[in-house]
Amino acid sequence: MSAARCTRLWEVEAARDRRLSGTALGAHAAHLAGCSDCRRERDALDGLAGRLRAAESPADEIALRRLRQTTLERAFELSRTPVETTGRRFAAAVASVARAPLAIALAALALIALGGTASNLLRHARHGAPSIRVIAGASGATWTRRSLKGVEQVELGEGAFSLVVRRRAHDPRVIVRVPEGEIEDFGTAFDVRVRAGRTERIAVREGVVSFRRHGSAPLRLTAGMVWKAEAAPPPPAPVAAAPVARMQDAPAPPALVAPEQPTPRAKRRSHLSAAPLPASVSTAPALRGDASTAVAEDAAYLHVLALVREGRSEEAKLAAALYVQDFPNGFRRVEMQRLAAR
Amino acid sequence: MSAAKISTIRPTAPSDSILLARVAEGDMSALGVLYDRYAAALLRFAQRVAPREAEDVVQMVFLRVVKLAVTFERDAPSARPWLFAITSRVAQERKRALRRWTRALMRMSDQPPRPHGNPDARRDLDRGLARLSMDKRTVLVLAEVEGFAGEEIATMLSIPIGTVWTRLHHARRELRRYHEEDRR
Repeated sequence: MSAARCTRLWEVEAARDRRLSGTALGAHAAHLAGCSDCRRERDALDGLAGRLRAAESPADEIALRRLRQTTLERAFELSRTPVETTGRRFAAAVASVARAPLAIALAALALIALGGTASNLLRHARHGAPSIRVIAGASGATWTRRSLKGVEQVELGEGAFSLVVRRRAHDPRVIVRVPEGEIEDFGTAFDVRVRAGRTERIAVREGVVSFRRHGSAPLRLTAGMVWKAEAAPPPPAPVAAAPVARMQDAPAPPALVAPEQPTPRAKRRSHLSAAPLPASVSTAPALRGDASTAVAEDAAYLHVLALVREGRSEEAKLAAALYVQDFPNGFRRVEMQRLAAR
Repeated sequence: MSAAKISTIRPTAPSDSILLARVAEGDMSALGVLYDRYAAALLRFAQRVAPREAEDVVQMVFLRVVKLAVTFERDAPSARPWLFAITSRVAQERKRALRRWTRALMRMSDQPPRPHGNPDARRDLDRGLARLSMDKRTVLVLAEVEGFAGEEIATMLSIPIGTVWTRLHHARRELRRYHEEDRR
């Protein structure tokens, strides 16, 4: 037969679960100091919690990486399945009552009362918003999107970005805001790099953009063109010590608009195909220099998938080959090798 | 460009709500960032509450995030409780589905059901945890391992706070009793 235990034992668990407060908690603390039963109970609960936490094994990194790829692949597919947008719902509703003139008249009156004309809303229902896809080059890269006065605005923060905009004739305008001004997008694919509050580089892969800077004339950039910011003024160097050889390493030229110089990566591409690759084929242009990261690998893989889904099989093959080159140990290399060899 | 302007702009990691807003707009690279942030913790939690299908549960959670991202409260400081709530729901759903299948298979084969729990679990603690009902196990792990408060757990699981405390009490008692019996 066991000895009688303290009748206030329940308080130990209550205190642990933060059910006691104020004077009740104070009284419990005072009681605990003199009650061995309650202290034993507290130690037992602490021990149990400690064992539960200590038994936590570190997550299996390989399993996590494998799971990451399959999850993102499935999520990508899921995100591409058509969802019923407000516009579509509205259009479907209008269609469903099309046989009832009274209902149509009421709907039109309601639309006018909401502040827009029926024709405008119907047009939006038909055309919807432009498709804007922004791939950030690293997890620290930030951007926001909003609709303002009939204009779709994307504001870029710090980082490297790859943007693909699909816009039809009646879709709202698309403006990409950067620190120096804005880029109007007419339906393109292009990359932007923003660092330390200034735009460093804009490379257009498809279509046309207009780059408007504060206090400067607008620049029209077409596919294959790259705009680079003026190099930041170099730090003052000791004049007497400057060797002649340094003169050849002149700072980068001022802002220019010119076809991009072939990079080592572009040279690699030429080994993949005798014909020059379309600019849109690059696996993840915004992510150069960041290729070792999982984000870069994701972006490269998702880019290949997007090309496959769009039926651009030749570009997809080449992008897959670039994936294999850039990520020789990537989790999707077998699939990409197979695709590239088709 | 003035130096003052440069100094005001600093790169910061995007918040969970920004990432979820991007996911809602179809930016799957944002989902990758969220995955990197939380997948390991969610997988550990799923291994506790649904050990046989933890990876499937985590994958299902992130796929559900794609659909639910638009419903995430913009003002919420972190997506952690929200993600754990989804994980808990997904684990419960899968467990129920698995139980239905197991019963159907047992009926077909005329075999008595195996005792509740994971027979392959080696560690005492895992064996003890496996003997708890899923409801109790979920509350216990959320409270003692993940450190959520009772109110948070109640919100996450959509149950009254009193139910959280009752489940927590019974889970602790059963686990302690199991260990005491095991030691004898």
